[in-house]
Amino acid sequence: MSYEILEKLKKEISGFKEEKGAREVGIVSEVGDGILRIAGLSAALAQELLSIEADNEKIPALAFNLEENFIGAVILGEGDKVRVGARVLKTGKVLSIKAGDELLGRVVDPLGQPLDGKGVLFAKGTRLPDGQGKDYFLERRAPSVIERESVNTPLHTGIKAIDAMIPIGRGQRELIIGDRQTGKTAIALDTILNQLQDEGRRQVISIYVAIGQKNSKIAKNIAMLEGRGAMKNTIVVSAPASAPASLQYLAPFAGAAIGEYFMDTGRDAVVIYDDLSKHADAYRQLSLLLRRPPGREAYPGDIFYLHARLLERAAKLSKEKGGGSLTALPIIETKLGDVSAYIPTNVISITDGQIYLESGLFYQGIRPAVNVGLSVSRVGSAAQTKAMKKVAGKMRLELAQFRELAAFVQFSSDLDPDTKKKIARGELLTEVLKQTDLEPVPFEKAVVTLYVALSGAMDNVPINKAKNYADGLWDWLEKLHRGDILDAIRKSGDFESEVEEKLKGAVKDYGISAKS
Amino acid sequence: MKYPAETYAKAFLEGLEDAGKKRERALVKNFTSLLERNGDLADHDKIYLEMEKLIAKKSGGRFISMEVADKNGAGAKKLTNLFSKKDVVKVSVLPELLAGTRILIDQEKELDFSFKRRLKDLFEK
Repeated sequence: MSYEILEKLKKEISGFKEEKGAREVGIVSEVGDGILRIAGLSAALAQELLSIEADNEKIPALAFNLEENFIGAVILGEGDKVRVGARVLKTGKVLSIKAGDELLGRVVDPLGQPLDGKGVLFAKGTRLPDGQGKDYFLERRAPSVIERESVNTPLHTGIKAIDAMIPIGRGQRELIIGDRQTGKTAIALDTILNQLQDEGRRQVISIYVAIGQKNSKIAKNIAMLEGRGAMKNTIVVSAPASAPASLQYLAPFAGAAIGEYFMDTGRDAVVIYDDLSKHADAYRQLSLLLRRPPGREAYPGDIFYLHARLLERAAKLSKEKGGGSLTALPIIETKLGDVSAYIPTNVISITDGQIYLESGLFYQGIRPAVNVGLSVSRVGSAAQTKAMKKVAGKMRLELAQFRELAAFVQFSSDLDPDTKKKIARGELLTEVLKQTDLEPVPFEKAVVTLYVALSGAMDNVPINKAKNYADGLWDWLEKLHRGDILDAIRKSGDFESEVEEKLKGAVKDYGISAKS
Repeated sequence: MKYPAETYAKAFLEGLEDAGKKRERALVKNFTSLLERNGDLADHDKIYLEMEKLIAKKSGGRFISMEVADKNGAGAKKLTNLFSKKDVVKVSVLPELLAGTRILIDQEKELDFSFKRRLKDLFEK
């Protein structure tokens, strides 16, 4: 030990003042599976952060159940270091996470600890003005009615079918629901990627909350986002399957708290909860270990309130409050397409609409496998751009008619010309709406493609060549009409008659050129 | 445990009170066989602790758990005498305290005069 350390220690010993008086403590009476039973500490508050005095460190815990003779708590650190008889102290604080711009591009756990090996967060001497970050409570009251305003700005996902027929607005809560392997995460990731190319509006910051997923899948998604340059506007909150149930339970709340930081600073954020089925499972595990009475499907009675209070935090704030927004895209995994199970029905009723993905469509090659009939957006149409409204207004109806008539496709030779036309149009639209994942389409491209398909300009194009035709037309427009058509739509968000005429002319020219 | 330790303790003490002195032995025997039948005999020390707490509470005293580093030290004996006769004082030896005493009152308030605590506080500052 060096001389300086020795001297410092001597100085501290001579000036050391012992704190006298009794301190309030609790005693760990049972520990296991990440759960504690604490005797004493009768003044502890619900959801209060507790501190367990383990051998050489203090381990945080969260007061969950306040009962007559003991407290049920959840360990937030390494549970195997806690022993029976350990002292537990109140902290007088509730759980919070440090939020700030410095989180952008980072991967953190639900307690705000970095997981990406890119160094300490909110270190002193940081380059950003909000260097020290701001503490945001994980559990926080949702903005009140007065603090909110109606959803009025679109959040483009880059998926033609969604942006045209199930539009999402900033501040909305839109559920993505479907069986496993139907492309739920792909929609979420496309939405994150599309924010890079969605110009003309405020940049949206994405928060991806991975709950109970495989570490390999999370790593793959992060690598993809990094590869595409989307991580600079993205924060990943990771609570993988290997993380304790307590962290999986806290993860969406941490994501919401981070999102609220951006919303409160007048910016737009989207938070993706991937997925809330696993979150409900983690909460069920904690509740059963804490011996709370089980309800339907063994979930605790407050599972609805858990998700309702989480999703209520998504909002579009009024101008007086800065005009920021927090959009929530929760994901729910169904089993064998059963949307009437407990958690799916709960979340469907909480959210402002749902995007329903069907495995049948997925295996037919219709990707994204969005079932347009069962999908709905209750508030997003108010935020849809004029251009998209004009173009896609009739599309939902045409597709619905096609689905009605689809059963007759096999007898097509015996059908009347009007029905035949409707079926052909439906097939064309289905083809045009197909797109590969991780390739979000810019809003103006979706407008142009859908306009061309709906105006009848593609009626003579064979179905198997529809994609080539649309791609070719896009290249043509990019090269020859970027300024007068594409930029005009992008900047104004409208599809004026002048632009429409120009597009008609361009499509005609392209048709002639393609034939020759 | 089939039932919580405090429930066992409460039931036994209330039963004892109702039965009176004459049936004391029989009641203890029955209680032991009940614990055996429920597979909770291994937790007898927990139940005993709960009984001590209840007795202290009933007599208007406090349940004091005193941990000392050295049982033969003079301090421990002196401290024990400081408490009221109504209090139930339980002394145990905990060498990891290094020196001094740690007193826990009603499992709620702690007075820690151990050397271990002093060292911990010193290094935490």
